[in-house]
Amino acid sequence: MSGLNAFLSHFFVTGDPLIYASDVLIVLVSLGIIVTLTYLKKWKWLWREWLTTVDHKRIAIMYLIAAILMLFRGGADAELLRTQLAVPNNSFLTAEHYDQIFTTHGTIMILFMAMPMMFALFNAAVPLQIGARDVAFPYLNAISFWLFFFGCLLFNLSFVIGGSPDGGWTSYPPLTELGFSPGPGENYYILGILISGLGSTATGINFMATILKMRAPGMTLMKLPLFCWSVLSSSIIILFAFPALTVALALLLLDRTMGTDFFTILHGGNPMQFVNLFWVWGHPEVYIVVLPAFGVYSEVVSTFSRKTVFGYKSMVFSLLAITVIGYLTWAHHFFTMGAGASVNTFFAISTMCVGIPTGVKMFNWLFTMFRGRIQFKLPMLWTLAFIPAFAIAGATGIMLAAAPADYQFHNSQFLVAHFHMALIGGVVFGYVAGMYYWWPKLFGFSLDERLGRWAFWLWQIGFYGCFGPQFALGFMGMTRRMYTYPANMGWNTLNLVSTCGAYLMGVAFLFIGAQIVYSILKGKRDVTGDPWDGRTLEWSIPSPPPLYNFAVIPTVQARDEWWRRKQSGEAAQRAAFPAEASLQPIHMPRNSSIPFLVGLSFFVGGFGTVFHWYGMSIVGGVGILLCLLARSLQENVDYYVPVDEIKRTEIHLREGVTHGLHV
Amino acid sequence: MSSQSNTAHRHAASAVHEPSFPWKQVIGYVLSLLLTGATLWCGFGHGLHGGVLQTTMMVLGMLQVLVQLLLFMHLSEGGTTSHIWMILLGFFFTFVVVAASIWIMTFGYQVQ
Ligand code: HEM
Ligand SMILES: [Cu+2]
Repeated sequence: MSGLNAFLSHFFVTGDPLIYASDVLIVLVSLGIIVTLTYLKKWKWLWREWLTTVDHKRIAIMYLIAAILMLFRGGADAELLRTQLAVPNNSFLTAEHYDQIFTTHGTIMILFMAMPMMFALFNAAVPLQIGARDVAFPYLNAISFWLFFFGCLLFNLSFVIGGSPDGGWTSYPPLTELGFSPGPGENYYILGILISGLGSTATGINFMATILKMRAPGMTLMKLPLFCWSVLSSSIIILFAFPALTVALALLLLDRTMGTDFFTILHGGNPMQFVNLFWVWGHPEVYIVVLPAFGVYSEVVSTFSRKTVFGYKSMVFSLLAITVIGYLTWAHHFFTMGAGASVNTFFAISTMCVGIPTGVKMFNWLFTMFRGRIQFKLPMLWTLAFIPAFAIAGATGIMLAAAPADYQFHNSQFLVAHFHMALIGGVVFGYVAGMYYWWPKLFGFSLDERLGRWAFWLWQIGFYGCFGPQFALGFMGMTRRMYTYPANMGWNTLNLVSTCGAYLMGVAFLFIGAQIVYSILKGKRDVTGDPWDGRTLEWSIPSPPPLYNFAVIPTVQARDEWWRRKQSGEAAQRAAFPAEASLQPIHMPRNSSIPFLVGLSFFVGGFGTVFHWYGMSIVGGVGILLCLLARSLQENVDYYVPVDEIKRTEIHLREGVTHGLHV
Repeated sequence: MSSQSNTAHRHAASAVHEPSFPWKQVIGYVLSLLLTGATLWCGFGHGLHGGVLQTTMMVLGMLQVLVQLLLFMHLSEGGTTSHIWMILLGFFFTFVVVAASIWIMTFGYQVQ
């Protein structure tokens, strides 16, 4: 009995009231979900329609839900950190707990919030914008989602089972070697990211193939919407950067489980090599997440200024330039770790070079707005807010890129403020804008503007209130990852202001939540399929689009094809039924339960490895192999949607439109 | 994977006629295993040392790349310009990562 007790208290995290409260919440929420699904008899529906789906639109929705949940979790972590820093000598969190929270906050925000939110936008918009019926590899797309999902679940479990990692989101050895981090936390970090990272790599390949191979006839690369160009650039970087992370983490895992010495100095290993490999991925990762946000800004600016984007070719060229140059800058993350002056100089200059194409894009957006008829809808508001935030991030980034100055700023609150300006101002603003922009297309109803404006303004005030003071705190000597500070440093007021800003941002997030719930219940239904008077092909079909997206694959003549059709009067046909003679049976992939099972097997194997229960790892591994085998032997993987069914669907989808026209 | 997408989206990939048995892939698989085994043997078997060891491993690694590109990635079949650009970009990034990493790490931190 006492043996069991000892095991359980080792297995579950105990002794902290915050965690007990979360335990209770987790159990209650899970029970709630199970009871509701059973009561409504929705299990079968959930499995058939969602968990086994290969439809990119549904996968987009699942990514979006997961990302919003993770934004909530990462945000709650941030509030805890800022609460601890609100006043000097605070003892709200212990040092160890603070370490665990900033580690999970950083990791979750970047890998389990920004990445899935980005994939949600990829899946939601790319196939529709290029006039395709799905991505190039729909089944692989589902596998990617489930790998992300189960990797994320594994990482999140560490919070209540076994203990969270506390080595920072960068997880540098030797701190993260077995000797200094003996618990399971670091294993959770490694395996969670390894598993979801496989999914991300596959998604990169998938969208590269989709954009290069699946464009509608007539859509040359120079007619590709800018969002798709940004996705292509981001996918290229994913393909070339993620393997470095996979290798670095795999080597660290070997060090921790198999006793190798890649990063332990004892037998000739070199911890700096981990730092190097980590940033070979880590810096390009910033461009992976920010380029699609740039893509969103391009779409939004042009739609809401009612003009084609200014300087299309230079926009494309800048994207590609950032893709390549962004790769050559990774050593600026360890200027102070001993590399020589020539190395530091090279990486300082290459870093500053990335500013040039980024500046080009900024000016193009501004010129697009210039003399446009701007409509201040929610996506446009977030786009406008991005410009000053990213200008500050850019300016402070150049300061950090000056290697000698970096010896001053290194690991200070100045850095924390800089990267939040970039990550929130550049990335999160863009994804929120993208979410608002494509929401009506995905769901068929719009998000409430009034609540959205409240969220927007609260967020803006909170954002500058939170991170503004940190620039000063950095100059005043407050370092990063500092869990408490004495009262006589002159940091008290600034920290208090910063924490209040963080709370305001938290409130703003709750407004976004309220906005979503309110709009699900009362949102305006989008009967036109084109609520913003858009310019690209996704707005030419009803929302939400039918399973096969386009009843007839469009032929493209212009960059803003849908706009061209509206101007030339061809678009009026859309409201009418697609010409009957043009309909043909549509070839579609079948749903499959294997992607879910692959994810589950990875989860089981990963969990076993976290606790060194290798029997369980083998079970997981066998599961993966069985899934691969089952898929190879499967013959019945696709089907045809018959013309009759297409006709019925299209009539049904257009009923709303005809009502709108006649009433 | 590619055959699946071909059937589901026939306009996607150029229709490649699959031979009845994938000999190419089997040969590629066996060659990959042999090359990996040889590299492992070089590392663990204590026959080779220093520069010779490193050069041998490098050559084996390059052969491995060729096997992947020629037998699995259809490099020899030629393709569109985008393929060629992607391959060049791949080589460029590989070169950058390897060369720059060596350069960055030359500050003598290594404990011998
Ligand atoms: C709600 C807004 C947010 C607040 C108030 C916030 C606050 C914080 C705080 C207090 C820290 C720890 C600073 C320290 O002690 O060193 C931190 C670290 C970090 N945050 Fe945020 N954050 C927010 C949103 C985000 C977002 C959206 C991202 C990424 C997309 C992000 C990425 C990071 C990263 C990577 C770290 C570094 C973690 C580490 O040191 O290992 N944060 N944040
Ligand atoms: Cu960087």
